[in-house]
Amino acid sequence: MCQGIALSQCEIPESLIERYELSERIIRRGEGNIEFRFLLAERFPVLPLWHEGQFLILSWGNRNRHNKLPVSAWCSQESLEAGAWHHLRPREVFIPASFAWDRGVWYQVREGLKGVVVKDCDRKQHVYVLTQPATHYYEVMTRNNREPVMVGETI
Amino acid sequence: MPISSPIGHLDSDCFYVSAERVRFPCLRGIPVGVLGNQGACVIAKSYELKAAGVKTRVPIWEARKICPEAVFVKRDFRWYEVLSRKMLDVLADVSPLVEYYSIDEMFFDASELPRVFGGSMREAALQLQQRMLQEVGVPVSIGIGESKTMAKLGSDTSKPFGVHTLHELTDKQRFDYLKSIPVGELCGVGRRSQAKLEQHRIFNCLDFIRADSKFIQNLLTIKGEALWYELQGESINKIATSRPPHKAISRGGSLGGKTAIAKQQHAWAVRNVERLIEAMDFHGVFARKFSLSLERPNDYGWGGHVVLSEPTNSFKLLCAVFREMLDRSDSRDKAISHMHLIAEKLSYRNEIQRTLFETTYSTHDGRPITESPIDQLATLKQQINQKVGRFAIRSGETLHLPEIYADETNDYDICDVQGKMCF
Ligand SMILES: [Mg+2]
Repeated sequence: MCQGIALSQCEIPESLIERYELSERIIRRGEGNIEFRFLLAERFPVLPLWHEGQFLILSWGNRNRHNKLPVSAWCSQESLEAGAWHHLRPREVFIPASFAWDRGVWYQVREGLKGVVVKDCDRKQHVYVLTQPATHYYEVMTRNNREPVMVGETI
Repeated sequence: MPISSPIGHLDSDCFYVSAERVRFPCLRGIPVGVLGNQGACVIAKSYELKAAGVKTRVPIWEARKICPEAVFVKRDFRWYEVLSRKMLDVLADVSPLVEYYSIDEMFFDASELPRVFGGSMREAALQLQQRMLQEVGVPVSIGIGESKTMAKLGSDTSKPFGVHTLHELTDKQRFDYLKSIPVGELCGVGRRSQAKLEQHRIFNCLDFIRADSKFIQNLLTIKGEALWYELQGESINKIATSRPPHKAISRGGSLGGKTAIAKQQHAWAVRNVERLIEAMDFHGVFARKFSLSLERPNDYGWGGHVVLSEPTNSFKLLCAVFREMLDRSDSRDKAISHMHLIAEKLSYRNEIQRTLFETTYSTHDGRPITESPIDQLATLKQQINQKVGRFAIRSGETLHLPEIYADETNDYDICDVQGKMCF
C-alpha cells in the first residue's frame, strides 16, 4: 500500500503546474530536484494521474459513507479481478510517481503506480491505488503486507 | 628509494548509489540508501545519507527514523556489474596492467597516464576521473603512489571525488601525510594488530615506518613487514591481473524466519549452494575449502568446514559437502535462523589442471564421498541460466521452499560483495 507519492518536477508539464496550483506542493528533498508531494494525510487528498493522454488530479479514494463508493484509498487487485468493483465501472489509470511513501519509508518507483478511477453518485471522479500482496522484500522494508501495483516492475 | 612504475588505485565513491544515479537522475542530490537482500538493512548509502548519521548495515527501520527524507532503492547487482565492467574497460584503455580488486576498486599501472592524457600525473589522473564520469557516469577517487598501499591510501584520503598523487610529495609532505593517518586505516591492519601496535606507541603511519622493519615483522608477521616497505615507497605487492579478486566468497543469509524442519534446512543449503556456485562462476574461480555457519536462536550456533583434495565448483559435490556438514551440526529439530556458506582457497579455473580422476574427500568419520569432476547436469543448468537469466533452473531440492518461488524479488539476490556483506 502507500500513503503518499512524490513526483519529480520533470515529470509534470510546466503548464499544468499553474493550472492545478501545484506550486503549493513543492518540496526540495536535500539538494535534489524539486518534487511535488501528494499525501493521503492531507485534508483533501488527491493524486495526479494520466488517463487517455490527459493529465488529471483527482480525489484520492473516498471518505464519504454515503456516496456508494468504497471507503478506502486503495483497491485490491484481487477484489477487482473478482468483480467486486464491476458495478462502479472502474477504469485503469497510470499514477506517475518518482517515489512512494509507505509507513514512514520513501522508496523509489521507476515509472509509477496503477490505479482505478470510479465515479460517485454525483459523477465526481475518485482514484484508488491498486494493491497486491507484498513481496517478502517489500514487507520487510515497509512492514506492510500489501504493496501498490507498479508499472513495469515489482519491488 | 627504488624506482618503480607508479601504481594507481581507483575507487568509485558510494558505488551502488552512484550506479543507481546513472540510470535514475532523480536520485541525485538526495539521501539514498541501497537495501540488501531482504530489504532489511542499508548496504550502501549516499554521502547525504551518511551526513544525516546513517551508517552502513543499519536496519531500515532505524535508518528511516534517523533520516525520514531518505529514499530507499532495491539493490541490483546485475546493473552494478555492468558498470563495474565498464570502469574496467575504460581503465584497460589507458593502462597496460589492471587488477580487478573488487566491484568498484581497481589497481593499475599508472606509468602511461601522463603520456595518454598529456600533462603531469596529477592532471592526467584528473582527466581519467573526468573520463570515468563521462563514459561510465560514476564519480571515482584516484590515488597514485609507489606501492599499492600508498595508492589505496591516496584514494581513500581523497574521497569523495578527489585525486591524490602521493609519489610526487616531498619527504616533508610525505611525513606529514603519513603522520595524519592512524595505523588502523591501513588496509590489512585489523583491530587486534592496531592494539598491538599501539602498545608499542605506534599510532600513525609515520610511527609505523619509523619502527624497525624486523620489529614490525615480529609483531605482525611478514604481511606487516610488507606494509612497512610499501609505506616506505617500495612496491612489494605487485599488481596481480590473475589474482582471484576475493579471498573468500560467501552466500547465505536469513532463512526468512527460522526453521527446524530438516527438509527445509537442506533445501536452504541447496539453494545457497546454487547461489555460491553462481558467484564462483561469475568470478571464474574454483574453491577447495568450504565452511558452513549456522545461527540457531535458541541454541549455540554451529560452524564447520571441509577441505577438498582438488578445487571444484561441482554442484553435486558441494551439495554432498554441505549436507554432510548440516548433518554433522546436529541441527535436527533445532531452529536455524541464518545460514552462511563460505568458499575459500580460491583459484582461477584456467590455472587449474583439471584432474581426470574423481574428486574425493573424507568426512570427519572417514567416510569418503566421490564425485566425477565433470558435472554434466550442472554445466547444462549453467548454460540455460546464462541464457534465460539467473536461477531460471534450480535444483528440485529447493522445492521445499515455496516462498523462494513465490517471491520474484528473490530471483537474483546476490548481495555480498567483499566488505559489504549484508543479509
Ligand atoms: Mg568505493
